[in-house]
Amino acid sequence: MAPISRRDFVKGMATGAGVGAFACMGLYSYSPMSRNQLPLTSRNQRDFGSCQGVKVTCISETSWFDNSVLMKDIHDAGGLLVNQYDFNWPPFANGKGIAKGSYADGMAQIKHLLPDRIDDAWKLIAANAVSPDNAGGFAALVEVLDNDGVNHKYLLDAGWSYAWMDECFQREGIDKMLANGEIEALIFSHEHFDHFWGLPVALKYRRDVPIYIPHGFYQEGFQYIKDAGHTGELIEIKDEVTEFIPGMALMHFGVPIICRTYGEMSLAFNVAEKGLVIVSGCCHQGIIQLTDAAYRLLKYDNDQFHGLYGGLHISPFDDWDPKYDDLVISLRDWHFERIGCNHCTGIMTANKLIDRGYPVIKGTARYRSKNTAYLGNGDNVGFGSYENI
Amino acid sequence: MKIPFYPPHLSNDPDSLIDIFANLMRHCFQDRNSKQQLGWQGFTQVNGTTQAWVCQLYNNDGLYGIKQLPTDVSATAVNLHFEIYYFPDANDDMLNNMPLAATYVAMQEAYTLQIRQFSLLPEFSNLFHIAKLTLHLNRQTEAFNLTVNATTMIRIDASAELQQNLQQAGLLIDGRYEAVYSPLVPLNQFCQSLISTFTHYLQLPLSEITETNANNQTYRQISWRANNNSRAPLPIWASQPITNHVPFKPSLLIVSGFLGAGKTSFINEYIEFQNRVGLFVAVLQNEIGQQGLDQHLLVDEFAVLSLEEGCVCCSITGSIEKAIAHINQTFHPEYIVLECSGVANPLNLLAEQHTLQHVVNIAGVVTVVDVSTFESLAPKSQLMRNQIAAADTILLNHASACNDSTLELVKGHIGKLNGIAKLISCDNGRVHPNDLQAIKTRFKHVSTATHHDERLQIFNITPTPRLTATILQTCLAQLSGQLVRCKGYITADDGIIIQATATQFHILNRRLDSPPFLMIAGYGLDAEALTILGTVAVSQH
Repeated sequence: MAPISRRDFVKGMATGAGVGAFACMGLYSYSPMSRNQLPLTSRNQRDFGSCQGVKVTCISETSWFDNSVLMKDIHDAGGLLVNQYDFNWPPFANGKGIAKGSYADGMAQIKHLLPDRIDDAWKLIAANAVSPDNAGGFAALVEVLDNDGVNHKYLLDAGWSYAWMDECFQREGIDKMLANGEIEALIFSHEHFDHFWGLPVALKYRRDVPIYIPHGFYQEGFQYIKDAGHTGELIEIKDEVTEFIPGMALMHFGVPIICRTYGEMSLAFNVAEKGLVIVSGCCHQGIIQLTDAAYRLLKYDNDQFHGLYGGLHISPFDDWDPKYDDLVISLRDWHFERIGCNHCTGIMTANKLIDRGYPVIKGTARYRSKNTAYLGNGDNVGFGSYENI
Repeated sequence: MKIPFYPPHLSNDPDSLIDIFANLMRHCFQDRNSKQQLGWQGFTQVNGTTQAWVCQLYNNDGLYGIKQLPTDVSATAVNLHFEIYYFPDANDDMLNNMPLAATYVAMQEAYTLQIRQFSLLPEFSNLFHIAKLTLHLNRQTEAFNLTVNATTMIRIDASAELQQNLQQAGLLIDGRYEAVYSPLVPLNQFCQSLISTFTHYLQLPLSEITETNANNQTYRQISWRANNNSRAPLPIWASQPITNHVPFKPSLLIVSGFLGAGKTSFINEYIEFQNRVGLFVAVLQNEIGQQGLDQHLLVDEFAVLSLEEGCVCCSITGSIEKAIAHINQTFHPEYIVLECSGVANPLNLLAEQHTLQHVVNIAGVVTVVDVSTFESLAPKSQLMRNQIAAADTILLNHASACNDSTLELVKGHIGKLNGIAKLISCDNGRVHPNDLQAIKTRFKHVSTATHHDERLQIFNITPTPRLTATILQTCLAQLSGQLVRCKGYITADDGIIIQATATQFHILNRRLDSPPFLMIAGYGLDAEALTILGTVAVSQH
């Protein structure tokens, strides 16, 4: 044992008392981390071309209408790891109550009505379901203007409630865009109820729309795509980065998500002369992991993160250290120039971003969206040539 | 190989298996009760690397670093290699015998920041290395093996250049070493949580556990295998971590603060944070005005229950107990926030806290203080002083609006009223919930003072339909006496929510399903002047 407290000695040294004795320990001078110093990551940047502009229209971001009802359902069912198909939420309901639902029971009642008679199907199943009126859904229209001047339209997710999503699709004209083939593909970010279960609403207007899903769907998910009446191509995205069209890539993250779901996909765009635009559904993989992966794997103009739209979950883990709670701190390093939040971000977080001068695009709080701090139902955000439209 | 948190067709996919550790931890952290029982307090990915994490366990202030090394995958097996680091708390005696450089960096302010970036700072983190782990997945036999390799006692010779200096300073250990310490205590605690987590989430039984010691090295082998239930007795380092698990009761956070201090802002922050990590907060409010405004100001439609009448300090615990029981049955929240009205005295509530203990765990009292008005209000209000005395944590709200000397003055005054509360400076109630201090088991001076003994005036006003925000703002600015708080709802411009204090005036355009109302509180206010706003009634409250 050392005769005196080495800690006290070092403390004294730190305040200048014994610097002489310590001078030879120069090798232990640690430069404090600089916030501007981005991680020493080896980059393997894929060139996926560029596009002129990207526009995201929020068809519905109200995944559910009352948070307390959802939380109570999750609690009553046994927690966040319970299989989403077992909750007895519509449309997989059988009248037996919370946590006693099943895919098969629900589908047996409505399969003959899908996808053309979704109104009848929803009414029928709602009578047997837990909290049917709380169901909303998330869906967005993504438009990409390519370098030849062609505008491509994609549907990102299809929401949850058939009734609510049909209303939203009609409000934003998605029904017609699907019917006349303007929408080239339906891309699912992940298998969650509020993003995926509204699938028949899209199929009602176009049964053969190509569908892209992230690798990691469970058996029920695959079965639902069949049972809902899909007749088109189904493509599973597995690679970390998949070029979609020039200037647009899909990024896959293999992560387990609450309610027994696996895998989430985000969209990335290289907007010419501006930089990278990232569009996510909920971002369960965490915004840090998403931006880190984009930084490592993609090549984009000016090496600049230009825009961001979607849920901004900071990190699926961060829940304990007061100093690092702040999404705002984590995001600062990346210097985004335009940020559009959705409800997953949280109103207070969105407000924090706004207060600290982040370039957050405000919404209009219409159609049951609750706050102008994030982009709500019917709002849109444009990047590149779509910036001021 | 069946892994419960992967879809069946992914469970033997080498690409997925590379991430099995990160995904196991993600899965664990989504299940909060188990997470806590398994001993994990927190877990964070190091920014900028997908393969390094920092974590903390309960009952230990130190932090662990975990770094995943390149993986080897073959047709038959996957081997994942990890380095484990332990960063003791700066006050931990363990540092006394660690390398002087480790002690030195631990004393620096940047220490916690560097820990969070440890994998990017190899020179720094190597000082704290404690073990190597290998996770071996046999893809044919479906067995999982964990190998832990640590040095039982780490001895570091003093380098030639240090030898003399350290000897002079009397810092050499046993006349020779720069450092002599054992990493086994923190390693054992880590193993307890890690091994239990594997057993819990792989749904495979622990089938074999061995430890060998040779050449000052410890090798531990832990195996999980299906169809093999011959469980060896668990050594202490492999058994379930000891956490205090009691039947679930929600935690009750009592939020107090004078009128207009910023209670609702703080609660909004609190709710959103807890929601983001999957916890549900119910709010119990009581209002001094006749109508409740605050529930419209909370960020979302959370379970908000207004106590029917009166203030918690007067009508008190009978109704709170009933309300909490009702909330528990209806919503099963993890947290209940009791928002005391601005004129409630939490000391009275604390005096009767034992009547609530069968329905909630009392987490503590947070008192929000508006620093900008403290000096003028505190001398006038015994109630405000009681609110401060009752607090476990005091939020010095609107701190950045004050200069340092004012802030120090306020801190000094507060320190005299309550010497053990934790003081946190903030703006807009922005405080991390984990920063709040848990309730102190201590005597709190119990007062029977209620707001009835205050000279505080409270006016309830039914505003005229002509009242606009501008008129109201002008009127408040010209009002004689000391305004403390004004809040309410007026119907001008399709609905405006008013929030004002002596120093602030905020409006929010929002239509409420409520008749217009105004509540104005203060000292020595001119009641006559208020009549231009509408019909004035002095609160019976």
